Formats: sequence, structure tokens, C-alpha cells
Amino acid sequence: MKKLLTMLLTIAMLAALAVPAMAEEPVSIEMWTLFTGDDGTTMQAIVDAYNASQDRVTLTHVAVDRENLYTKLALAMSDEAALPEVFVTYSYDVPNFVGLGYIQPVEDLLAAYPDFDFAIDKYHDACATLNYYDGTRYCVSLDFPTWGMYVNTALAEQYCPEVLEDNSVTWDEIMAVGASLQEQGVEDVSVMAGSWDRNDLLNSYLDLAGTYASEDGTTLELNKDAVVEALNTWKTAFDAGYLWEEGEDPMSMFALEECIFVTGGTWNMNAINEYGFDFTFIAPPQFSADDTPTLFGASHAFMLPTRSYTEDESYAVASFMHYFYEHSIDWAQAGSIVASKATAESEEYQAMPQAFVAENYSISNPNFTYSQILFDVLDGLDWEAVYGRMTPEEYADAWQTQAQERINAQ
Amino acid sequence: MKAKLAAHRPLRPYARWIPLAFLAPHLLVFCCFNIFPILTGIFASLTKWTLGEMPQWVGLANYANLLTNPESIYYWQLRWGLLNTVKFVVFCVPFRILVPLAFALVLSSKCRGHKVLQACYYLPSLLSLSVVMVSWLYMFDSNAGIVNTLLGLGKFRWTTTEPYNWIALIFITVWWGCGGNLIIYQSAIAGVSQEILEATSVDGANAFQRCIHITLPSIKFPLQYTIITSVIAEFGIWGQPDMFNGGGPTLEVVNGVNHQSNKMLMQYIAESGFGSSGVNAGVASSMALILGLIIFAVSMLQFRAMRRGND
Repeated sequence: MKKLLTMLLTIAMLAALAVPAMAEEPVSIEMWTLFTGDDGTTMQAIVDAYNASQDRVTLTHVAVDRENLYTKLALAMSDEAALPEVFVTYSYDVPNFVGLGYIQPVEDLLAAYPDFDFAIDKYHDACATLNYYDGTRYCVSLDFPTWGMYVNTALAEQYCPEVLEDNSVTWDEIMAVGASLQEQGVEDVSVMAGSWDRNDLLNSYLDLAGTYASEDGTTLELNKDAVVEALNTWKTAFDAGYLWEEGEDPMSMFALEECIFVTGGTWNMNAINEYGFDFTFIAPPQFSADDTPTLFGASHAFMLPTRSYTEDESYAVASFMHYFYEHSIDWAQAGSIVASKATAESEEYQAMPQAFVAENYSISNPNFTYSQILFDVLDGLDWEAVYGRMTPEEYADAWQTQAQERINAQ
Repeated sequence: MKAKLAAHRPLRPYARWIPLAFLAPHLLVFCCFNIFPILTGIFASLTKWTLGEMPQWVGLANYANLLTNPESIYYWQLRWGLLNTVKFVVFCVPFRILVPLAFALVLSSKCRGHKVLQACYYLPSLLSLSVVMVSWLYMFDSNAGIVNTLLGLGKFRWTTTEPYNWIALIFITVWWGCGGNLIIYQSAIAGVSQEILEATSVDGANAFQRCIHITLPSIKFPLQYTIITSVIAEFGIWGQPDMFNGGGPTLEVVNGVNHQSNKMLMQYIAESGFGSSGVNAGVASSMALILGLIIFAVSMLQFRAMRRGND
């Protein structure tokens, strides 16, 4: 009897020791994103909630500013161990990253987890083109950070109620409101402030020219006339005193109710919510009232770096992308136009300002391998043509020349 | 006798390696973090390299482009970046020397409250560049900045008005970097012979004469050292203009390149070598090497001039 008890006790102890060994190993994965502002806080909250919902997966979110993210990626490419399991950047980087060998298709990973169902028709229609390159799916969109214009509702009702009747503002209307304010002797309110030269000018340019690249997306084809016209329009309004003054901070002007409109991105919505007055989000000034307003936008997307994955790592990545899809409403709180159709159709989302934008305007995001180079050159040129330190023609030439030489160096 | 014998005792074969063993840790670090990066930089300057791909050997093409091809944006970036950097060094370094020197002389008089003053002068050196620049950006703000308010300048734009953008930049740099040189001068002045100073006082020399004829010659070596280190440091100027006005207003446009008033060579190097797009590490390394050679040449000239002055 004693012998039997000893044997049973031994078996029980061995079994107790074996159970943890047989349990599934914990999995840790890392995700790099370019969300360093308010959106980074929102993403971290989503990641925390995801981690809390998982038994064995831990996702670490590393937010890196855009420029450093690219450098970090480039340097990590030489050492697989330094690469994250997944990263988030703009979908327009896909052609360049594929060319450089930085990313791999997502199709195998998505197909391995049919329960999560990453079918493209579950995503915003734009994803059918933005997530693919040469017929292969390379990324999974989160949202569409889009450039638009915030309207101080009270000021708009006071100074230009008729302008917003069609939820679209043209440049002619901007000029008319400006002239009207000056006639009325209103000095403490400007019509509009442009908060980011790059996106403001791109939006105006794309409204006029439609694209800046060849059809196959490999060659820069800037329309110089459109650049000059866009710049001249901004300059005319600036010189007339309808916009901000050089040195003024556009977002501060809007916060202090010193301008009716301020251009901004969907990602500014959290901050603007804090200003404490009613606002709406519409398209930036358009050149024609006839067309559907165009907004310059892009898509943040999950991408997989070129590296090997264990089965657990693949599962963890797919599981988070699925979780994000299911919980995109949390992401929408930060102002994002979400890629998840399920979220976009929800009542809660429909009540948000960006839902109107997503449904009523077209989002322009030309397919061009070197979009980022073009944007960076614009960032460097600032508002110099509007402030009169370069002519619009010089500005157009500088944009073309500097972008082209940088492209040639790639 | 014993000592003499010991001195002539033949060395064991491994003895000659003993000093090297002591030096090895330092040499290893020096090779890893100095020699290797320098050699990599030289190699990179001879390649076309986007960081993400293997570098392609292009020989001296980057240098030829930078030095002889006015059609290239990099030619103008090198030229204007270098011009602005030299301008900054020429105008900033004298203040980086004279201002802390003046403070050190005042503090050496042990005037009332000199300890508090010393702390005030040194404090900015402890701050990080971003803290310094954000603070001064608010103070130089054209709308609500305290500088415009105090000077009654209305909405004067310090960041884009020539030459006031330079004045503001140099002022911030001197304010920030004053503490390091101040400490060196203070300790050097403290070592000046009090007997000589007292003797010259007795002979009728006033404070100014004592300063010119006794104190300054006595601290000649620390002065020379700080001049050289300040010149080297200011050639590397990057953060201040980058955060103050992103390189400043455009002065002219040539061949599609805009010449910005305060854009320094280091900014162009960083833009070309890193960033989110259009990385051209080969050209960036070439520009960096040219800047390095210029700093080396200037430092050598300074050493030579000083050696001649000391002879």
C-alpha cells in the first residue's frame, strides 16, 4: 500500500511538473509605427487592450518619428534580429519598399488564418488598389489620414453662412469672404490659415492636375502650370490679407478663434476637440464647385518586413491586425477615417465628423514610387513662394529639380 | 651597482608586448569608434548608397559632382552650406571666447553675489539643445514673444529677417555654450600669480592694465585651447538653425536650388544621409569628409599660428 501511494505521489508530481512544459509558450512581438503624437497614445491604448485580451501574446508598440523610422528600417535590414515583426507606415511606400526588398507579401500570412478573414472587400474600397502592388497584396490598411479643413461653426455662421450650404468651399468663396470681412472692418478674424505648406500645396495641386506621376507610377511628371496656378492662388489670398501673417501659428489662431477655417489633417481632430467650440471638417478650398471635392490623403498600413517568422509570430501578427480591424472604432476616436468597413458602417462612426468626409469627397493619393521624396522636397521649400521670397515659377522648378535629382540617386 | 645590473638585465621576449596589453583596451575602443567609422565614411564617400541596399562603387564621382557640377543640387548645397557655416564660425567664435572671458574676469573680482552669477552663467550649458531652442523660439516669437514685447518691436520676425536671424542664432549659441569656456577661464584666472598682480598694483597699474598685461598673457594656453575647440564645435553647427527656422528664408534660387540664409552644411549632410526618403549616403559622406578636411586644415593653421606666437 505504501509502495502504491509513493508511486501515485511520484506520478502526480511528475504530471504537475509536465503541465507547464506542455502549455503553450508565450510569444512576444514588436510593432514599429510612425504614431508619435496623439495618435500614438490612441494606438498604445489599443495595444494595451489587445495585450490584456491575450493569454500568451505580448505586443510591444514602438513609436518612431517618420524620418527615423525609415532610417531604422534601412539599418535593421542587415540584421533580421533587429527587425520588428510588423510595422506601420504609408501605403505609398509599398512600391519603393518592394524595390528595396524591405517588405514581403502579406498574402500567405493572411491565408493561414481564414478565421480572421482579411478579405479585401471587408476594407474601404480604396484598399483594393492601395494594398496591392503588381497584383500582390503587400499591406493591410488601418486608416486614411486625410488632409482637410476645420471650420469654426460659430464664426462661419456669423461671417459666411452661405458658403457652407453645400459643405464645400471654393477659392472664389475664400476671396469673397476675405473681401467682405475687410469691408466690414473685421480685423481680428482672418478667413483661413494654412497649417502645413506641404499638404496645402499638394491638395491644391492635385485638385488642378490630378497627379504628379506617370501612369505606371515610376516617373515624376509634375505639371508646372498647375504648381504655378496653385501657388498664385494662395499668394493672391495671402497678399490680400485674407490668410494668416508670416510667423503666426495657424492652429493657435484657430484655437483663439482668430480664423474661420484652418487646414489640418484628420489626425488633428483630438487636439481640436480640446479647443472647446463646435467645428466641422470639410475639404480644403477647391478650384471648382462642380467636381467632387478632392482631398489629399494616404493610407497607414501594416507591413511585414522581409524576415522569417515562426508560426507563433505569424499568428500573433495576424491576431493583432484582426483585433485592430474589430476595434477600429477606438482608432476612429482620434479622427481617423477607418479602413474597416464594419466600423465605417456603425452608427457610432457615422456620427463622427470624418464619416462625412469619407462619404462625400474623393481621396487623392497618386501612385508614385518616390512620393516621399516629392513630399520631403516640398517640406524644405516651405511657403517661400507665398511669402514672396521665390516666384511660383522658381518654386515649381525647385520642386522638380530637387525631387528629380534625389530620385536619380536611388 | 645592483640597480645598474638590473637596468641592463635582458628583457624577456614577451616584455615588449606588455605596454601594448595595457594600451589594448583603449586601442580597441579607439579603433571601433574612431578609426573604423572614419574608414567607413571614406569608403561610403566613394559609393552610391541608399543605406537599404549594398553600396555601389562610383570612385570619385561624388566629389566631382560636388566640386565641379553646377547642374547638381549637391554642388550648391555644399557651396552655400559651407559659406553659411564659415559665416557662422567667423561671427560666433569671437563671442564664444570674449563673453565668457568677460564674465570670468568679472567673477574673478569676487564681487558680491559672484557665486549666484556664476551659477546663472553656467546653468544654460546644462540644458539640452531642444529645451534651449524651444524656450528661445517662444521668446523670439513674432506674436507673443517676450523679446518683441520688451523691445517694443511689435510683430518683428526674428526667424526670417536678415541679419537679425543671424544675431538671434549667435546670441542663443553663445548663451547656451558660455558655461564651458567660463569654467576654463575661471580656473585659469585663479591660477594667475597674486604676487605679480599686487606688485603691478603697487607700481601703479590700473585694473585694465593688469588684465591686459598680466592676466590675459597668463591664461594664454587655456585661451588658445578654447579658441580651437570653439572653432571645431561651431563648424558642426546644426541643431540651432534646424530648430530655429529650419534653415531660414530663401535668399536666391540657382538651378532649381534655393539658397537659405541660415542653412548650414551639417543640415544638408543630415538631409542627404538620413531621413525618410532620397537617402544618398555617398554624397552625404563626401560632404562630411570635405567638411572634416576643412576643419582639420583650419585647426592645423591655428596650431601653427599659436606655436609661432609661443616661440
